Amino acid sequence: MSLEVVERIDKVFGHLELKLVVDSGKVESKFTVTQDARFIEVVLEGRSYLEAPVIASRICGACSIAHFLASVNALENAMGVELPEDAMILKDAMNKAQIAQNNIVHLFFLALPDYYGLKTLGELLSKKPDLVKIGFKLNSLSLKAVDLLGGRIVNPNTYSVGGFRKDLARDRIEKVVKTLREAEDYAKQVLEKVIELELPELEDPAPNYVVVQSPQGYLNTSNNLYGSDGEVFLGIDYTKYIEEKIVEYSNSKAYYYKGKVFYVGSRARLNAYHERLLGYEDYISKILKESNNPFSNIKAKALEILYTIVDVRERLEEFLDKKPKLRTEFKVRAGEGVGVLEAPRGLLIHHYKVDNEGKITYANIITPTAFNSRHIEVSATKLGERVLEANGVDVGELQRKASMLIRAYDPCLPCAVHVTVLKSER
Amino acid sequence: MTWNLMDKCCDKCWHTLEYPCRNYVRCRIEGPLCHDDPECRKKRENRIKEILYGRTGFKIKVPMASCTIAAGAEEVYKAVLDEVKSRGINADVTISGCMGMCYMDPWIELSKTDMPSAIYANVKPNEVSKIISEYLSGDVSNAYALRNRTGKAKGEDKVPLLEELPAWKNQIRWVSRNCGIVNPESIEEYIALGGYRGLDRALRMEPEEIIEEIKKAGLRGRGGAGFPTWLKWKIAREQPGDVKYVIMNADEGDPGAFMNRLLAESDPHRVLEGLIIAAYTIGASKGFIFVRAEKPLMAERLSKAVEQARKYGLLGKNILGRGFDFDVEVILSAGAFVCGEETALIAAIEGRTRPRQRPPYPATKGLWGKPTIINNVETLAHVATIMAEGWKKFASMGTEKTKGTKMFCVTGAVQRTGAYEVPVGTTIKKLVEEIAGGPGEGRRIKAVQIGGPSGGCVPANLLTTPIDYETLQKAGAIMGSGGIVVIDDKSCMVDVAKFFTSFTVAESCGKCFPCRIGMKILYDTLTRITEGKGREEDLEILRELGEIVRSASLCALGGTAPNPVLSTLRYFEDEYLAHVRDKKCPAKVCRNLVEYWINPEKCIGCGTCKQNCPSNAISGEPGKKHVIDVSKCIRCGQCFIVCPVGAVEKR
Amino acid sequence: MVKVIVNGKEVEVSEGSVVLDAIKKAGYSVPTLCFFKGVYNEAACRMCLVELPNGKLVPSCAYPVSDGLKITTDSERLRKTRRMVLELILAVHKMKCYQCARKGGFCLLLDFAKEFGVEGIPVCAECPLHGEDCLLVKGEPCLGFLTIAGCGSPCTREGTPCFGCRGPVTREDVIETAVKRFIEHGVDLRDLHSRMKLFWSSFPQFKHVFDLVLKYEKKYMGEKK
Ligand SMILES: Cc1cc2nc3c(=O)[nH]c(=O)nc-3n(C[C@H](O)[C@H](O)[C@H](O)COP(=O)(O)O)c2cc1C
Ligand code: SF4
Ligand code: SF4
Repeated sequence: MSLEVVERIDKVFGHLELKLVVDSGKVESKFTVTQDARFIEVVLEGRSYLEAPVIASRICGACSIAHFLASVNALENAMGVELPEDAMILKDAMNKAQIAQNNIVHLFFLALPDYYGLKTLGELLSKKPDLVKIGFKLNSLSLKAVDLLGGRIVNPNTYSVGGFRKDLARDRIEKVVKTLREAEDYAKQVLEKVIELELPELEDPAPNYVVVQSPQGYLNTSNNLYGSDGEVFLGIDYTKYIEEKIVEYSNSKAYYYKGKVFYVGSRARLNAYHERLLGYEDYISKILKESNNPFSNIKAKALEILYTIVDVRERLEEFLDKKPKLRTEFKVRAGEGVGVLEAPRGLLIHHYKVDNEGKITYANIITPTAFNSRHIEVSATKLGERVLEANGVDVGELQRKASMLIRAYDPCLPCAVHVTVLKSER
Repeated sequence: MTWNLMDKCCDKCWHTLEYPCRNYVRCRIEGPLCHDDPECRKKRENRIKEILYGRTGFKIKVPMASCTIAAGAEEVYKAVLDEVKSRGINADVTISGCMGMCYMDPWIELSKTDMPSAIYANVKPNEVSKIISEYLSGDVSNAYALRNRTGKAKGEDKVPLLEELPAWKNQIRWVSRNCGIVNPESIEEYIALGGYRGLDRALRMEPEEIIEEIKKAGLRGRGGAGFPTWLKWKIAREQPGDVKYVIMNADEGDPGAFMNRLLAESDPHRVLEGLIIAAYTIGASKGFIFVRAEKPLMAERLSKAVEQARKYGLLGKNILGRGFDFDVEVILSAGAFVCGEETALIAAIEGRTRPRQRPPYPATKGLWGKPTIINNVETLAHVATIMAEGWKKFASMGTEKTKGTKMFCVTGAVQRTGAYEVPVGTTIKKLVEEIAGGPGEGRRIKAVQIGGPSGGCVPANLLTTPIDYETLQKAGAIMGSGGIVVIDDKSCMVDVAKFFTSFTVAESCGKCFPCRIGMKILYDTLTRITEGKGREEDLEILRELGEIVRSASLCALGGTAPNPVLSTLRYFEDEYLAHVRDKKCPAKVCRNLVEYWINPEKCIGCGTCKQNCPSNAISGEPGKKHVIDVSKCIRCGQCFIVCPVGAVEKR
Repeated sequence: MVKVIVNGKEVEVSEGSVVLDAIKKAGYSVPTLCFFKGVYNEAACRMCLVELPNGKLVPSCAYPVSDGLKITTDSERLRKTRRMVLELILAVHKMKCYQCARKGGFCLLLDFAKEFGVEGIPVCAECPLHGEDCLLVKGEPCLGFLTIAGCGSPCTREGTPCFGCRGPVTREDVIETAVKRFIEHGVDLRDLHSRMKLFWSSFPQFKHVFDLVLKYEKKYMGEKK
């Protein structure tokens, strides 16, 4: 007996299909990105270092800050820009604020209804109005923080290679601090709710991950990567460790870490660096119980919301009493650089070569969802087998569980499809 | 010095300016009323006869109005005077106003006891002598028309009577009755012809009764909007306060309309009489005559009329002993079209500029914040006539909604240009074809533009529309002041619209944006179309923008300015489309859209065109066919004009 | 007191008020441009037009109230009319916004242009209003001169030169001034071209705009030499 279940996944950013082929007890899954290809890397070539981050930020409306900063990091590395520490901290704050905001959107608007056996946010709103209202509130507060730090809620404009364009006024920082203080309590409430959710059982068939190494604390900028096998390597060497394969049936590519399927994202971050999260031990111990379950990504996300909100606030409070130095002088020069960054959905890599006018001659971008796509397939296969064992061939259940799983990864397709075969031929 | 009809007949007449006699006006003709003296009666009768037929029994009348003067009346007048003097003829040479039949200008009228009054048209100064000799010899066969027949003169029956002329017989001369008859510079003549009887009657009535009378007559303003005159007066009358004003709007500014000028130049006392009645009715003690400085004769005649009326107590304190004080000031306007608009007119008198938003209407808050009525010259002339003749006769003419008659100026492609008075409701066709004679042999009326730059074009197939405020509005035109321009097939409708639009663009006061900028953009778009650079979307722009300008402008100038564009667009869209789509001007008017070529069948090879072409576009050997190089042709049209055999044609 | 019905809602206002007072009292608003209460109420701009039941459009800032007067403040027709009037006003506006004296002030035209989606005002109109100095002076390749305003200039406010993401202004005189200024301040024209192509190359009007830019560059570069 053979059966094909094709599910168009809703409530994700972009368009994708998951095809499960069930053939005499065996399951095969294909993760197909149906979103049209975009040619961002081609667009980037020939652009100046001032324009590149602006273009890059347009890759994704949800995580524009991540793309912007990864692009900036890559260019700063390429041209050897030494940022003042304050600028680094503020840059991280920008990124973290966005991680918080993205995670909130993911939880409330996309993933959470699944865990209450519901379809949409609307249904959730009528069932759990208090929870959803907190979500809304939290979303708007975090957006405000993003707005204040980035200049607007998408496509940041306060920063360009070399630092922040202007000094952030003190009252603006005060506003961020105030906003985040207000958000903190809500974040805690959400975390406490989410952490208690019951997850579908699933054992990760490929428990390998790659994250950005975070020397001081959690989620901070660095140029190193860290693999689940303990290997620490330079971002610029990513091609030595991570191998890329073209997938015919999808507009996205597949990636392997040292030949193995791996995952990135909140769960990876938490699994790698949970010791560094001081003050959250109770929560962490609860989450880690299921750390090998891909579904637990949503719990890790909830934790990150709280952490980022508190962390950004604490760091900005230090800024209140000093005049931070946010910009540095630098010389435009030729070079090659890789920017690695923990985007809301996991590892993001921007890789550029620039000429001595600061124009980009080569660009490569790999996004979290691209890294995750293979892992999604293997998990989905595993999940399919489990469902088959437990319920027999139940198409409805298969579809439901599979799409729930995919949503738990929080894939973002507009990011994933910027890559094209065309490009690699150039 | 002969006795003047306006003077005392004898010492028994006690009328003075300080203590005026109530019957002063009536007494002039019917009198004497306060004493019975056959001598005095005789005096009056003789004087009236003198006025009407001349002292000498031979009267020569030369019309003196701006239009006839332009046609050469002054020279004719001089020639007549010279002739009379040199021949020692005993004749009264007087002036009169204009009859409104411009195509006859200049004309002279000769009348002698026992002879028919004969009118000679298009007189040249050197013909005067012959005309007088002929007439005196009892021969009228060369006259253009006769006022009456006596059966005694030679050739009488070959000459039509004036009222038999097609241009005359369809008219009803109600307000223009005295035009061309009365001497406009003489109050005496006006009174002899029954003038100021309306005022006399009005002053014997209560203001409310006058309003009622005008209401029953059904008079609507002739200035353009057709607002019921009685209502305007009533509103103004009911306003509290003693200071009120009346204004005569003699600022006629539409190109193609001259009936106000004609009336005021030919019969100024009639309009003044109307103004005095209006003032009495609303209780105003001060009036203004707002007249264009560009029409000096009109201003002069009106000023003279005011002076004379003042001299005889028809203006001033205690008019006709009714305890009613009223005086008039003539104000010269600088001559902007917009100053005809009520609020702009008021602003101009106050020394400001530009219209203001209505309401408040002038009738409640006008000149210097006081209740003010503004009436058109013709409206006031109607008032005077209605008050003299009674409302019934007036109300028996016209349509259900609009009573009475209206003067129209018919110009353009017609044989008999002129100002004609017809009952409201007369069809355009009758006015244009029967009265004005149509465009003449071989030409076809394409459209009729009614209401000047604020009006619209009515196409030939709607010529049977009766002229009335409402019907014209429905057809996309307006009655306006009554200018009618007849357009024949030699005119391009886009060009016509452009012409009228250029007028309003220049005349917009610039206060409000839709009119100031919108009209300019309309004009630019039209220009583009006539230059062959139009696009099909332009028609939509014209339509939309026209609507917006119409509804959003502050005053009626902007509110009506798009009419020419909108109406031509409505009826002649095909012509517009020919311009924008095929880049052709069907009437071959728009310069950039015509191509000149030489018809080889007609060309005689004279070379004139070649010599005159400024851009050397024409080539050809003498005696051979010439050709135009289209790429070099700048479309100046020189060759078209100079070719002796009409071989240059447009296509 | 007289009763006025604004969009079906009854309000009472004192005699001698204008329709605008009634509209405000009823909680509605209409755009006004030339109206400054007690200073200028000449009803010249025609932005505040409202509709009477007979279909007439009258300016609310000057039209006196009367008992039982019914007015409509919003309709397809009114919006269209106001929009068109605004377009007309902008059509003759000089658009030398960078010279605007209203530093730190407000610009109603700009506000309305945003509200009605009328293009024509460049982003650089906003810098003076926010009290910002022109970035061109610092040699930054700012496209604010040529970009349709309405975004609130978040970028230039943060010191980032405009990237033109809202698309180009097509008015020739605006383009001319812009190019003139670019050249005056010695901004690298190649940088600018690259920037223009960044967001504008997909706009249908781009070719037209770019041709004009090149035309005036030629003109003013020539002059400079
Ligand atoms: C632009 C414009 C020009 C006008 N010109 C004249 C004019 O020349 N003569 C005139 O009597 N009325 C003119 N009017 C009409 C007057 O505003 C007013 O309606 C008229 O004088 C009222 O008189 P009535 O009631 O006797 O018609 C004009 C109106 C507008 C809007
Ligand atoms: S409509 Fe024209 S003439 Fe009338 S106020 Fe406006 S700009 Fe002036
Ligand atoms: S003027 Fe007329 S006839 Fe003479 S050459 Fe030209 S086209 Fe021929």
